[in-house]
Amino acid sequence: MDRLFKFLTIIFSLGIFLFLAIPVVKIITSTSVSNLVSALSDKAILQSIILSVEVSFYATVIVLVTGVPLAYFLSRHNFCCKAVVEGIIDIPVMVPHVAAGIALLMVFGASGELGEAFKKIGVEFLDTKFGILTAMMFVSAPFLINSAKEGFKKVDVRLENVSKTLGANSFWTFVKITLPNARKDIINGALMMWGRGIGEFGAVVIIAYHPMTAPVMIYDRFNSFGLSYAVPVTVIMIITSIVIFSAIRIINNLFK
Amino acid sequence: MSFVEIKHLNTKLGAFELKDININIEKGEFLSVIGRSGSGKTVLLESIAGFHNTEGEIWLDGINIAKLPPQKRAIGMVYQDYMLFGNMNVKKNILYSLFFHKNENSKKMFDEVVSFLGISNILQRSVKNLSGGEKQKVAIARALLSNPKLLLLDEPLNAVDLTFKLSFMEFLKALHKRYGLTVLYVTHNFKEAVFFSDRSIVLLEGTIHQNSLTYELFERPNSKKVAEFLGFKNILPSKLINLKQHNFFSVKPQDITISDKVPNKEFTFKVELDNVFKIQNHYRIKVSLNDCTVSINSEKADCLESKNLYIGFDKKDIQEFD
Repeated sequence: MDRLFKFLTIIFSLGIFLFLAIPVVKIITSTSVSNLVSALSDKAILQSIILSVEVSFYATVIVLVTGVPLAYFLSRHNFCCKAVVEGIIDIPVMVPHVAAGIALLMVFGASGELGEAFKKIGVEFLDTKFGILTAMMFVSAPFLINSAKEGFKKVDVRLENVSKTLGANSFWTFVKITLPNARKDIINGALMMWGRGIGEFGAVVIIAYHPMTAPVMIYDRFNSFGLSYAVPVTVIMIITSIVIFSAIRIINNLFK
Repeated sequence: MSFVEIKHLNTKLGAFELKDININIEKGEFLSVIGRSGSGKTVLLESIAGFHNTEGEIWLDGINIAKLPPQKRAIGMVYQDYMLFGNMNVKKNILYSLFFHKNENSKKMFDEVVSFLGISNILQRSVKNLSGGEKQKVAIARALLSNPKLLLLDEPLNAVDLTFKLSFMEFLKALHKRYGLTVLYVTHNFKEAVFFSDRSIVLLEGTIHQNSLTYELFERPNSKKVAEFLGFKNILPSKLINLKQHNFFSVKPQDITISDKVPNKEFTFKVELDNVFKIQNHYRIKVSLNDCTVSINSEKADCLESKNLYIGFDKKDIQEFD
């Protein structure tokens, strides 16, 4: 029985891992080095990748500042509509991202309530970095908020109690005890959000086709020139993501 | 006025309620609260420390701290499972309070406490790699450095290895004496209360049932509930022996004589044998008396062959309560 269990565990694990890995390996190995080099020398491709990484990073930072307090609040308090609030936070994960983009367009577009308000201070969303930022934030924030919430739940509230008896107020207790002890889940959530934001296509393409993010660029090249032109951009994007996220995970694990 | 005076303290936590708690603690006293698991011991400490919404007054050194936040109450709390900060090493845990209240004597106090607790060799270690006793010492040192006026100890011996329990109890007693601490100590273990405290409180189902000298608890429990909690055997209705002052009385199994003849005792009864089993060098005999079961410890069991069984005891051997 033990042997059968081990055998099945290995078989199933291997199956799902190969399912995830084979397409990635296939796409990386399907392009030649010379194609990659020429893609790397294409300024438009590099700019689209940098734009994706950069704007998704900003979106993640904004949600770190605003979403982590929300996650903490949800982890520590029970209230009548908590399930509804948590449901609303999860909506972007569930709805088609194109639909999310349309919803954002209605709010942040030229005739949307917030769009008009922001326009007065010179911020426009249609086909701008702000539009990309908004789309990335909307669809990927749940990854960070939910992960941070789970992280905070793991921090025993009695640790916070003890901290307070030792003279710390709620703010210092949060900074010195709660946050460091939930750090791993928050960083993991931030990585998930950042990565999800970089790869976001559906919502971004509705609100901002230009300037082109990497996924929009891949779609554009595929549509205009065919598969062979889309692959090098995809490969560079995958490799960039793997390098960035592996490095951060390794650093995070070093400071356990 | 006592150093600590808790007046009409009420705390409601979901279905559980701490009701009308009144406690006085003198300066330097080591007061024990004894109660079963779930009786509200930890909630009581947490209410005093300021972690729950409460009603009532908590006077500490002449100030009503009931509405102050925990960080302004000057109360130290040590949980049974230590609650050490996993993101800091031992030294940083102990020094934590100094970040908020540094004083001139901090360094001296730190050296003194660390030396007294014998933990100077583990200061740089991660708190995750310590034994139960070491963790508890670090938690106590951390609380002491904050210079609390009242120290709340939540079953601190629970997680200490049985082998080291007695030495840890002696250590706690020495610590109390050395620093003149005022301590409120909760436990479910009567022996600990007897060891530490001249005075103890019995807390059952969120209510204080008895507040008296610790030895009195065992000599004169004031109710059937307290007697049951303290492990009294043979709690029987007083009408059985025609005593009307109290509702119940108890008699120890070893103070009851069992025989096939009516024993020469003040109170005697004919009983039915239920069962008997041998424990080491004596017999534990269970008999039925009306609707009650009575336990008897006896060195001999010869009489049990007889159809007529009698038990007897004297008035001097009974304890009465309501």
